[in-house]
Amino acid sequence: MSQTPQMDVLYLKDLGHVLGIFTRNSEPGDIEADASAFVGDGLHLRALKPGQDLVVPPALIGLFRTDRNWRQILSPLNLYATHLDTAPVLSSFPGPALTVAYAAPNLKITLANVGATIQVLVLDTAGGAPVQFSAAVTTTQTNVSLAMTGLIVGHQYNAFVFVPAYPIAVQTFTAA
Amino acid sequence: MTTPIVRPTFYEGEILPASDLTATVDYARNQVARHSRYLHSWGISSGLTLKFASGNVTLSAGVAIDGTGREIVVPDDLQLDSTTFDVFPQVDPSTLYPVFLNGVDQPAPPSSNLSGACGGAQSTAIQETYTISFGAPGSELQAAAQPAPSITDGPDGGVTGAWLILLGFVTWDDTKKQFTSVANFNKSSNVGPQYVGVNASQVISSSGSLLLATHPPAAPGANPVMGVQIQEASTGGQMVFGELGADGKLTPALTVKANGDVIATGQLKGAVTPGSMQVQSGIAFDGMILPLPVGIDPADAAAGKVTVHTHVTPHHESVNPPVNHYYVPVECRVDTSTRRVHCSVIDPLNPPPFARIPAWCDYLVIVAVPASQGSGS
Repeated sequence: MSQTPQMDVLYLKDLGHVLGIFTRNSEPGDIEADASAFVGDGLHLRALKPGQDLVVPPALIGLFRTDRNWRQILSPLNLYATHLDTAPVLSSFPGPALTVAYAAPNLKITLANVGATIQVLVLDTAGGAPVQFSAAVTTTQTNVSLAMTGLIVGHQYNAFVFVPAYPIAVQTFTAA
Repeated sequence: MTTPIVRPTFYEGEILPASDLTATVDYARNQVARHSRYLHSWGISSGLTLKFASGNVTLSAGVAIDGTGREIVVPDDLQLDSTTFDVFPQVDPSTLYPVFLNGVDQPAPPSSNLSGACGGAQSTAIQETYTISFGAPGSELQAAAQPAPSITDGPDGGVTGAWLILLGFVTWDDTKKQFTSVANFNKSSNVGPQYVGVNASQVISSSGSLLLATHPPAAPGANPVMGVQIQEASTGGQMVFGELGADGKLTPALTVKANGDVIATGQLKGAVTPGSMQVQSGIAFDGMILPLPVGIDPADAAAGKVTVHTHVTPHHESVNPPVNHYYVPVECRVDTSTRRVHCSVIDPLNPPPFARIPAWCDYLVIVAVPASQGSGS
């Protein structure tokens, strides 16, 4: 076990967005294999959209341990992790935010630079489990349209958009 | 009904035919085979390792006992014949092909100064030799499930239905027509060579010390040799677990004394002392599940087998609201059934007014482990 104070980072698997950071003054010798012990049936994120409780499914959440950094603990949503397969590194988002717009039936995502995989969690503002959408972006693509299928027409939704190296974006729309 | 075991006997003046003399040899041989089969488990007993160098694979000399109780001796190191391998369709150069050993009886060359009844020279001995063969990928699984012989049977002659002993695996370069590596274990099939064992309900030493080891001391190999030794002494015995050195001595990692003392050079993990209090603390954030102390099984907490006490307070240190913003705690609690944190503040002077802002808390979790860890305790 490391002698340096540690912190535990919950992040979105594959994409690297940090969802939360906590500390344990007695860290176990080996970190838990998955994050389920700390998220239960899902991690409740209430910071992304006031009044909206986004429950991120445990299967999408990874866990790693790194040296403690108080500034990072108190601003986790400004961070993303890289080198997830080896020794993860936490960084602030480097560039401008992406833009999101809804033009029925598509969610249009515009990236400042080329991206990679896009993951979108769409949550009914009335609550319930999020609907997942994802798309792979080609290396030259900066505009992505995701068809918002399977939603209830007339219901209001919040789309939480995750793209590697971009801050999490939230777009509210009424399904049409 | 199976014929009982027959032991040859002779009487004075009897004319001994060849069959009676052969029966005396077979009786002892069959008895040894049954001993090997039922008091031991079959496999490699010494040597017989595959080594790769410069495109060639060499099998080291050694001894094995097959599942019929037959002893197979490879007296010298042997280079595997690559020409006998080149029969399989090659697709993936990383494919592992099993290498098998089986015993074969061969009549020895006739003795030149003896003759049979018809004057023809006949063999008076059997050579207990062997063959090496290669199998298709995955055939090691079949070799691990070979049918056992009948209880009275003697050892196999290796002529039909020979018992295969897995020696390891090779990979092959079909362009260069040569072997490229050897492996002792196939992770895909989860199969490796089997080594001889002992079938016994008691293992008793008369020396005052009993050693179990994963290899002989100083055996060549990638892993350290580990051992367990039970020793008696006038002051009380002990059981020692540790690494076995080339000198045959154990470096103790864990020692259990006869009086019950347990001495570990490392950390004891996993077990939580009954009747103890375990503690965890730190910083948690709104929406997560509070961590439990190290070693506490979440299932035990959920089932009520341990008593979980939690305490949370809003975390203020290093939380620096922007200028003219003021955070007022409105909620800081833990859902007792799930240990989920509910911690939020409001910023009453800034819009949207009274919107809850998720926040952090300092937490303390104390788990009382009952003295008896019985179900429902």
